Amino acid sequence: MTTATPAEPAATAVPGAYATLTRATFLASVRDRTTVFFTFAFPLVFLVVFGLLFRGQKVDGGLPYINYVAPGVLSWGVGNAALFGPAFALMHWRRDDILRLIWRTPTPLPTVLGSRFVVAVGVGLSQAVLFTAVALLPFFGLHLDGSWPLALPLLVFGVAAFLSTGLVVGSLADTPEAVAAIANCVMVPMAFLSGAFYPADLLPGWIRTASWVLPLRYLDDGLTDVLAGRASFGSLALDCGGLAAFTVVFGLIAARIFRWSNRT
Amino acid sequence: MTAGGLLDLRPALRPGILVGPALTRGPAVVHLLKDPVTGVRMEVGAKEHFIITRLDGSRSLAEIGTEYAGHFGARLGDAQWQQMLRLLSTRQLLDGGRPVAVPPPEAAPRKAASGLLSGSTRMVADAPALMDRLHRATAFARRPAVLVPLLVLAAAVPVAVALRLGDLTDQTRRLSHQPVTLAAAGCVLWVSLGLHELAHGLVARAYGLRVGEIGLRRVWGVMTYLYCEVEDVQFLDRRGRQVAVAVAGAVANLLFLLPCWPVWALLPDSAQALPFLGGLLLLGTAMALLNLVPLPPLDGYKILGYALGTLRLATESRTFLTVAAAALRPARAGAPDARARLRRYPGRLRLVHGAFALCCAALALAVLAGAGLLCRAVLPESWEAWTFYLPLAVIAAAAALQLLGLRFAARRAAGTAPPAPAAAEPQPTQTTPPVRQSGTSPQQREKGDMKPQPRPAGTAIVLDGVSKRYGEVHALDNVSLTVGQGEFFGVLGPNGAGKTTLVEIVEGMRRADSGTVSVFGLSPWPRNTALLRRIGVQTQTSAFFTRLTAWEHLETVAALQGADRAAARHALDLVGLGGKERSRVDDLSGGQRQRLALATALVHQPDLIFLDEPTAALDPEARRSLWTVLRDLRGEGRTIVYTTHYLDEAEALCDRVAIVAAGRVVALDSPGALIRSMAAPARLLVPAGRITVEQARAVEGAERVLLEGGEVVIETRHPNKVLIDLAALVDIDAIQTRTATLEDAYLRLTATPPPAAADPADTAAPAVGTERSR
Repeated sequence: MTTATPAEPAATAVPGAYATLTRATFLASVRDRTTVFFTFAFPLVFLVVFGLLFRGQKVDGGLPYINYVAPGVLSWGVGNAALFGPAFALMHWRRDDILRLIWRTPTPLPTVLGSRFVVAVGVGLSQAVLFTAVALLPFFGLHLDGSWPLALPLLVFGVAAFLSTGLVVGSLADTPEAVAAIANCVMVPMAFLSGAFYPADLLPGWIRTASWVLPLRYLDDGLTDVLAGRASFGSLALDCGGLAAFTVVFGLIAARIFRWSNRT
Repeated sequence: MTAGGLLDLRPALRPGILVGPALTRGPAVVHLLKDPVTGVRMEVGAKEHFIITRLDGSRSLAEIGTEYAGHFGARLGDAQWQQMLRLLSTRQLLDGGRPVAVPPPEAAPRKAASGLLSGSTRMVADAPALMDRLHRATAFARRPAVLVPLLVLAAAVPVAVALRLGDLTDQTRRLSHQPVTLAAAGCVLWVSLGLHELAHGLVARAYGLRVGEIGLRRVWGVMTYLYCEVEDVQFLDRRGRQVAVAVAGAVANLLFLLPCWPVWALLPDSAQALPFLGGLLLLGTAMALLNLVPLPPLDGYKILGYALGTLRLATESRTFLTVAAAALRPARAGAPDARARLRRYPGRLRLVHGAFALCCAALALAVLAGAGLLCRAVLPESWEAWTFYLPLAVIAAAAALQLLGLRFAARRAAGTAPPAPAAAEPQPTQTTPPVRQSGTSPQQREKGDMKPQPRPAGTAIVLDGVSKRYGEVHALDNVSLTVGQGEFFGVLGPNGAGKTTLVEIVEGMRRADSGTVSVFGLSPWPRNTALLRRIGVQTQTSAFFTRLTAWEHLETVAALQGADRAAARHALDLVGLGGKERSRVDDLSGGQRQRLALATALVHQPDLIFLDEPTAALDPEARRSLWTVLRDLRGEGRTIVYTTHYLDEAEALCDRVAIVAAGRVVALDSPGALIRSMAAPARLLVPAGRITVEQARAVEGAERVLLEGGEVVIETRHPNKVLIDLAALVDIDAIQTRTATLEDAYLRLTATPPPAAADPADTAAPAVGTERSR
């Protein structure tokens, strides 16, 4: 009798679903050549532009300029990719009824999100590796401190925070244009106010204080400290904690406004 | 056709066909031919050219044959004439008074796919018109008094640059340390390249040629350049003009630099702009001159080809080299043959091809040496021992990679030969794919042999008094129905009748406002995963994971459903998409998408299957083969709920049909019973010539008699009786009987359509093929 067949493999279903979904998400991301190009090329373009503009200058904080620009642009690039990708995907999945398809399967939504998270972390780490490799060239002159592995947890927490922001954006927007508009409205001011494009130490005092309400500030701050070798576990934990808090807040908002279908 | 008749023909070439001057391709003399209407270009040999140019409608083939014999010393036989004429007529070159068939765009060589990073964008909507305007605007320059000084000045630029090479090189080196200024110089040179293309177009236009397209071409996102397509340069009658078109670009580049020269020469040594201008002059001149290097695809190669009157010089030189090499090898078996081939090259052509090959080799060596020197200059000192060989190593690595890639591609192509189950099936084509071959043909499996299948006891779906409203709209209004397990249940209704809502309530996506819903004895609301596992839904919008292939999509869905890959494979083969598994879902045709959506619904082998117009985008053949799949599914004991607009489909497939209108079930029964309950009259059709309307009216049992499109139509509820009476009046084979169809019932039940269709008896032959004649 056919009724019995689907029940049996269900016990082993979830890990399989997880791996396959991760693979599918990965393939879909990699095959979007345009996005891949901009994901990796944009931060590099900014690095080149700022590198050319401010080569050799020093900032009050005592570090060479590149030590501010590189972590800033990197955190902006990672945050951007982690926000835009899931936001677009969520909007498309809802619009194309893929969410309904998932709804009908026994696979729980956290599995779907988990696979998305793994891919986003992968993208963020590859961005970081490529970007750092370029910044290390003699032309830019970044020096990597031995404590760089501390950047890994920061990146993971950062990706999580921006992914949950992306889920909010993807739940709000119903068209690609709306996703781009909302996400840009979020990211561009944040990049300037958090010191991603120029040293936070140069910002007016009140903006510097106010910028701690932005997730990018925590990522930027943490990465700057790690790359300069002045990170302590305390400050790092503070940055990671800030990012985790943003993840929770935006995750809750996303869960609240999540829709399975545009028609419901 | 007799031989005499053939030679008396006086065919003429279609007016407007372009015939080019004599060219050589390898050892052969060829002429280019172009049909301006179809845009087709072809090459013909000297003999064909001799004949074609004499086909003017006034000369007979016999006369041409005599001239031909006088010229080539050989007569043409009938068979050769016939072959020649057939060739000309299939190429549509003869003036036959028939309209010329232009090949559809698909048949034309397809352009490379245009994406964001690579491809081309048309910039000018009407390039010929733009060139006409430019042609008029530049009329003043088309005089020797202007052209000669301009050409002299253009020639003077490289000379002047050569004289001051030291200064310029120095300034260019300084420029290379100012990235922003260097980028600005690059932008200026880019504009100069655009003018280069326009110059080609302008000169071509001046000689009466057509400019096809002006646009931007992108290569891998790193290079973007303007292009200007000039057609038919080789049809110009003088080689000098052909060369002029090709050389115009480089001249434009040099003229563009002209204003920079005096500024550069007058500026004091300390001027900041000096490196910019100096670099511009040097790089611009180098760009113009490099373009004249005779290597494909540069202008220099074209100039050489036009000047020598050769086609595909590079390829032919390679051929010549292989032939020459084979001929020189003494002990080889093929040598005499090769020597014969070599002798076919006249002395001049041997020189041309040999010299070109030598020239290419020299250039390649020069480039390699230059690259080596550049590497040594740029790379760190410590690598000195290596640098000179770096370009060689890079080329070797690239060649190895290409080889690997080719082998991989070949292996992949071999691997694509479909796996075992798919191999047995005919490869589905793009348009009319057979979904599945089964022992019996769809025709045999028509309604007639729909035997009652062994049906499992019990019910699949029970709806009792279900209502659902959105605001003021009653999507469902007190709906009660029962679907038995293993039943093929049709849901018919106009758009917006509530079909979708009905399905969504049954699968538990929406909650009914009132009433009870039970599926396999369980309540679907709230989301019941145990139940969802037994339900498969085909969506109307064909929801697929973007940028995945059909197989990857199905594999993912299978994993989501907790099924294994074998299940995905089974579903793919079931719908006959095995041959398309490597296609991206975005590239599938409408019918293929429908079938992938079906496979998506079936992948976890559900017991209850909701299909929403699965045959909507299919052609009739694919539709029929899908029916076979559906009947097999039903044969396996699965319950199918089927919404469709095709009434013939519902009639052929469904055990029972619910007709839904305005949120209510207005009828629910087997298709046959529905038709009978309508008591719609049957229609007997007799050709109007055989019987008059009066005669027909006199037949007992005839309820209405109409004259429709050359046929007398008799409507009756007692067709057998009327048929017997009619047989006395006309030949019984001339009478057609049309019984009522589900469409009649459907139209009568669903609301009040336009008055003409309100009474099914009044509808003319139904648009959908629902008639059954006997």
